[in-house]
Amino acid sequence: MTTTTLERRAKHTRAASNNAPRKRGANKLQRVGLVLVGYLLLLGIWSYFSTYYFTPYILPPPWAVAAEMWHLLIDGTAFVQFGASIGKIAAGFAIGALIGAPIGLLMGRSRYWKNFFQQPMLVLGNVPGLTYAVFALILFGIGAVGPVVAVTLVALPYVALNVAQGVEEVDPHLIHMSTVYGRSRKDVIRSVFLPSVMPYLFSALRYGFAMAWKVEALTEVFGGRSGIGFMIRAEYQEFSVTGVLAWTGFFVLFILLVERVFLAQLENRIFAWRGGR
Amino acid sequence: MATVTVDCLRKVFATPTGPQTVIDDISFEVADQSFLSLVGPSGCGKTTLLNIISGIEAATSGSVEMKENGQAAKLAYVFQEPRLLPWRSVFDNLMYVQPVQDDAARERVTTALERVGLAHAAKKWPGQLSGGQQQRIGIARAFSVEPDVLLMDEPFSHLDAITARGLREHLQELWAHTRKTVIFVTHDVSEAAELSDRILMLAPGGRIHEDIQVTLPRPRRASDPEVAVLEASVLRRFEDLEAATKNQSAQLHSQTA
Amino acid sequence: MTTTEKRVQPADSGTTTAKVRHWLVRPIGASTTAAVIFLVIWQLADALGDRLPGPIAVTAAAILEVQEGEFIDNFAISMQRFGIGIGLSIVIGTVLGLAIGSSRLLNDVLGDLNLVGLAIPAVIWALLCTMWFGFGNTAPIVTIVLSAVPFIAVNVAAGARSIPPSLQHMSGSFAVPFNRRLRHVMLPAVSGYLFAGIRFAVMSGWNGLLLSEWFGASDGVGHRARYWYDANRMPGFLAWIAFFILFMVLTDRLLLERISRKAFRWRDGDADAKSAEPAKNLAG
Repeated sequence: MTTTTLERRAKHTRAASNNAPRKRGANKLQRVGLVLVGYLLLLGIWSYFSTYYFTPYILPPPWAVAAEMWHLLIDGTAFVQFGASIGKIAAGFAIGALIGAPIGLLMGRSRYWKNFFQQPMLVLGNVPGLTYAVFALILFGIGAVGPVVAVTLVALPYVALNVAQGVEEVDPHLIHMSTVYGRSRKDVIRSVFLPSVMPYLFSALRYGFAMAWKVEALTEVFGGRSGIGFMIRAEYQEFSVTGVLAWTGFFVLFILLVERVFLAQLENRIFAWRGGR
Repeated sequence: MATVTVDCLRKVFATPTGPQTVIDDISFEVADQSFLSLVGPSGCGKTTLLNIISGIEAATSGSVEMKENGQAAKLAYVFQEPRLLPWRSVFDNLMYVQPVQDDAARERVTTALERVGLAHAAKKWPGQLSGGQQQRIGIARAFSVEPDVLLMDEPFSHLDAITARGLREHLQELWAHTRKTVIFVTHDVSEAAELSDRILMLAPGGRIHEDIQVTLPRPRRASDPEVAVLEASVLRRFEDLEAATKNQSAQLHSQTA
Repeated sequence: MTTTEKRVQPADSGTTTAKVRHWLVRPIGASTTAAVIFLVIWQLADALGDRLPGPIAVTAAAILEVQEGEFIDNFAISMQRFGIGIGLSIVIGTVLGLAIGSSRLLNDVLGDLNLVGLAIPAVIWALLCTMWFGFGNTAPIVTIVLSAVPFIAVNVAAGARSIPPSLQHMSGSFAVPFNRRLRHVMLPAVSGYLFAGIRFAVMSGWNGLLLSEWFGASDGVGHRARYWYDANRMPGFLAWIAFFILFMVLTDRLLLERISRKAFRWRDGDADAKSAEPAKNLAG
């Protein structure tokens, strides 16, 4: 978690220095071009191997996978199954955040509770995804409850540990200033605590979400009745590499959409004040 | 009539090596509408004293009384660093400290920003301003609550010399306008000589070493010869103080040896 | 806080209850309380429901598994795969990370792909590798590499970017020779990030290994866990899950955290000074 925040900070300073209006459009165009080159490179290598080295049964060419994806899009299966997964993730994440945030608050405010929760939270964060998946299956059987509980358990330590760190790093000087000017507890929480904790909460959202996706898919592989994990499992059982790759493709598209569009927009809006630096 | 009375104040910190006295039986009174400087080497308890006066820290014994026409005086504080909320605009930063957030408060905030010459920056984030501008916002914030007593803790020590000089002149103007009772902590003797009506020199160990009344005419400038003479004389007394402390510790050593 | 403790200690330490109470509020006491509460809830869940065996049954199964030698045999096989996979990942990830971090062009070309790699769940790799390579050693090792490399690459890239240009300029103006620059500027800057990356890679790779062995191997720890699961013998299965978690926590705590703390220790001095300040205020 430490490295990820560091990296984002580095990204921010770079973004700030890039803000010079001149050449910005040209740079962006060039960047998009290079990103496309990267994808084309991947597709090229893939096509090469699938045409010359493997049978389509083992590694189908990209266009076969694309055709399969198109097919799944047209008949609506992709939307239905994605919707099922997203719903479970959202529910699990919301519950995890609702439990995790107060725990994090406690950990940040009191040394005893920090010691109490620190080890369990770290262990919870280290548990292999397989464990969650199988436990969910054992305890809740096949269905929607298992994946939701698994996502909750994954999200919880991320939110708790990040909120705890955020609360600990609230600038004591600003609290001090608020006391001198006689601000109420409510004012301090709204204007000092929440904005300080926000970046940490955001980082929890971003990385917790990526983890939650993985575990949710895994849980569906083991004991889902819907969702992309379930679909991947079904394709695997029919030994359809094309099918598995097609669903992987959807997965990638969705992650890119969330990361590059949704989270980026949200971040720009919440952290506009950092742009000035 | 905002007066500050400090009576027999003591502050003792518990440290791993035993109790350490930071403020040792200090008494003084700050007259209404006067500008008092607390000067001393670092670690002589200046900031602690200011924190006790502001009510953030509790004294071990003794009392501080601040009265404005018999009622508790309203306080404002300017810190060493600007201490602005980086996620609020300059205007909202000033609004944050207003007791009641009404139109009158908005008026006061606008006036305060105009007075420090930063009305145009009201919508900016603190991060977009220079260090000197941020400190001016900090000063505007203090004036915007229309305090009876203004506490300042080395407000210019983090700034470069030229910016600091400009801000000192600005502060003098503001003070001449409003005549707040000011307690100003600094380690910079020339700053104290330029700004104060009265200088209290603190010695290490938290005692008042000397009480100097300053009667130079205002407005003053750092380059005025009288200010320079005063600064030299205060500095000389500091050298005496240093020599005295050295002697004392030497005597202590010879006694223990 | 420190002062109140001091006041309490000499007066109360005579009685044992006070001693216990004092021990309970210390870090070790707090962690132990948490662990005990967890075990009690677990055992209660065993007593009340019928799906989940409690800690006692699981411990018994774990001891049996160790006595029969299954534990050692399967762990040896898996650790071999894990070692090879992580070793390969470190090499590939470092090269990739240095490339992404030091060149703007390669960052644009490969950065997005790396992001995609981070996002793909290990279970997809495990299933694909099973289909591609069949049962054996190749599928687990490739799964580990595919799920671990992006984490190392992303961290090493961050490290390579973190080398301040001013330090490079400084070294240039003092004409510091390249090998000394590599040792004192580049490696310290990257090594901390590399170890942090390895931490994530070990977590992700371990998960990948378990899944791959679960779906596509006839030996190893993942397969052994599946064996108990398929036999519907939950104590045996949970014993292995406990082994996995224990292994992860121990590697993370004993090995990786220490190494990465050491690699980052130049940075901690700062953090200590920062955290010491409010503590000082509290003491007064």
